[in-house]
Amino acid sequence: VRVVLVDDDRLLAEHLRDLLVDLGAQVLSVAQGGDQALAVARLLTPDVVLTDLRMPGMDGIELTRLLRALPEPPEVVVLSAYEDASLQTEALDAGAASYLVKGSTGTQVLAALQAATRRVPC
Amino acid sequence: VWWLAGSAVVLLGYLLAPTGTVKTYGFLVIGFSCIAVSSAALRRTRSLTGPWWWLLGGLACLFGGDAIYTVLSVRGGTELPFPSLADAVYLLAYPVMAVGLLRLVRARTGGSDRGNLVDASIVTVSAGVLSWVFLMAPQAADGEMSLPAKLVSLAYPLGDVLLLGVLARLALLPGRAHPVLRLLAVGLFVLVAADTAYGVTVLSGTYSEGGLIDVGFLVWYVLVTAAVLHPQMGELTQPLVLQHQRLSYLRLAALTGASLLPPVLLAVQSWRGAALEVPVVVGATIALFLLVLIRMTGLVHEVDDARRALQATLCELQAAQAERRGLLDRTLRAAEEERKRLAAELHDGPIQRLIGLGYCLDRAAIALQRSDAETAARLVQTLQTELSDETRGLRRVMASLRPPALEQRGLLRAVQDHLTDFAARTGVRVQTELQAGQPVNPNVETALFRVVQEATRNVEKHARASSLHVALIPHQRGLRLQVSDDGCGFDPAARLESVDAGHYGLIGMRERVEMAGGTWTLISSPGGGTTVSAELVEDSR
Repeated sequence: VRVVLVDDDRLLAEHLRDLLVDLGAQVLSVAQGGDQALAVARLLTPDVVLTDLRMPGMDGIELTRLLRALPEPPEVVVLSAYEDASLQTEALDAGAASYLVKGSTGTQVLAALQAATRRVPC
Repeated sequence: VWWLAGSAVVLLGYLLAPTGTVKTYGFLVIGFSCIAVSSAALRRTRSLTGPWWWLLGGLACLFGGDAIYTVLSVRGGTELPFPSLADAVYLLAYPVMAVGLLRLVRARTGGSDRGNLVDASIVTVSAGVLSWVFLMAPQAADGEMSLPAKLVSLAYPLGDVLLLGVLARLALLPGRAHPVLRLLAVGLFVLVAADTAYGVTVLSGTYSEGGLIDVGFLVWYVLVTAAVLHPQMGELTQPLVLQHQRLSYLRLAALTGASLLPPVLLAVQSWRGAALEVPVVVGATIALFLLVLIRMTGLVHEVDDARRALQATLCELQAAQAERRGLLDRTLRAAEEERKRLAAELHDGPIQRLIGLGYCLDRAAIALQRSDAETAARLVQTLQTELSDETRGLRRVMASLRPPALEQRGLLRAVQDHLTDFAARTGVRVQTELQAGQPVNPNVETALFRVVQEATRNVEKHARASSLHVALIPHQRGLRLQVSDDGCGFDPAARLESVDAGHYGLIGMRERVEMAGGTWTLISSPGGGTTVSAELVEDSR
């Protein structure tokens, strides 16, 4: 699975990238914010974008909406520190394939990414 | 007390002494002694003596009249003509004493108790009517008397009415009666009673020298002297703090009685078949009506004033309540804001770090599963370093809540620690000027530390400053804090008004300092940097 990671916390993003690579995923790029992620997604057309929710500037929900509106939309999996149900609903409404809470194991994250790629487009 | 006891013995001796020369001269000696003792005491006193000299002047006139009467009687050997020089001096005593007593009253009230003055006038007018009907009118109607004799015999009861008016003025003063005033009031009452009795007995030809009436005159001398000698005599000329005075039922009854006296008198005289003094009674009734009207107007004004004062107090109270509600609201919102900030700080810092460490741990586990000990060892090494960094981060969050240094090592060290951390984190160049002064109370220390914390937080978030100057120096009996940066600055008025937009930092700083009893100032302009100052004194709350 070809993935682009989006998180404003550089250290966390690096640990996650290394973990996903260890688990066999192909991490195309790590973006620090929404604008950068959009540009990278247009360029690299990943299978899935794994994005944080709360970021300075464009937040994860807005990014999801814009990514899903691209001509070749990637699947989006949201990975957030917040467990609020309303945020989950909002993210799914914006077009995310799934919503994971930070602290999920690497295997769980990879499984969600793979599941997203198998999703039937609606 | 000794003066009163001694005088009582002397007066008893006077009463029991045989009529004749001893009594005549005894009367003069007692009167003179009183005046001499009073003058000597007055000369020594340091309080206001003007009114008292007038009073003694009145006593001197009484004594002078007696002396002249005695000398003329002894020299002439026969009854004196009426009126004589003695009468002129006697009559002078009334106004002089009245001036003295009224000046005492004025010194005490400052002339601001109009209600009592009107009450005293009502009593005086009524007494005047009584005096006219029973004492003056018969003499005025006496066809055998010459005009001067008639005028002088009318002047005596008139003088008594004047003194009675003064007595009413003394008795109706606001507040509890002063002991010295009580002595004067009792003395004056005895004097007026004795003088009236003298007038009546002389008219009816039953007066006898050296009796109770003369003792009454001497009681006045004795009590005036007792008043002068009284240890609290000086207080009487100090102004009284006038408070609102309730119109007591007793006073109301007395005033009603006094006001109704003329028509009642008219009815009684008519029933007795005696001469009706219609012009005097009508005049007095009109005067009394006007006085009651003035009194009533005064009362209405008093009620109006009280209502206005009550309204003003109510407004102040409402304003204070609104201010309190506002403060409470801002405090709650500031607390909520602080929680939000703390939640964000936890989210962006420790939680992200711990999640990252979790991923790292995951990778170490995978490496171990794959028997890649070298990668696992490297990852554990990374974990240890980042865990130790994270512990520091958490400590910083804790310190922002309540710096332990503030309690353990005092304000200066806490500020120093905070600024060192701030400089390391932000790269802003920090210059400090921190001087220990007298120890200040913990509230003041906390307030000043919070100002430093909030001001540096603003510098970090908004100012884009390259250098910061922090001074904490002893100032008068407290401490003065100044935090200045060379950042982008802002328009303070616009920012302070934006509390509704969620900018509690500046307002919070100001309220914290003001609640600790200090002053807070902010100087800033777009492009001109920002200076926040706070001054707090040692005995601030």
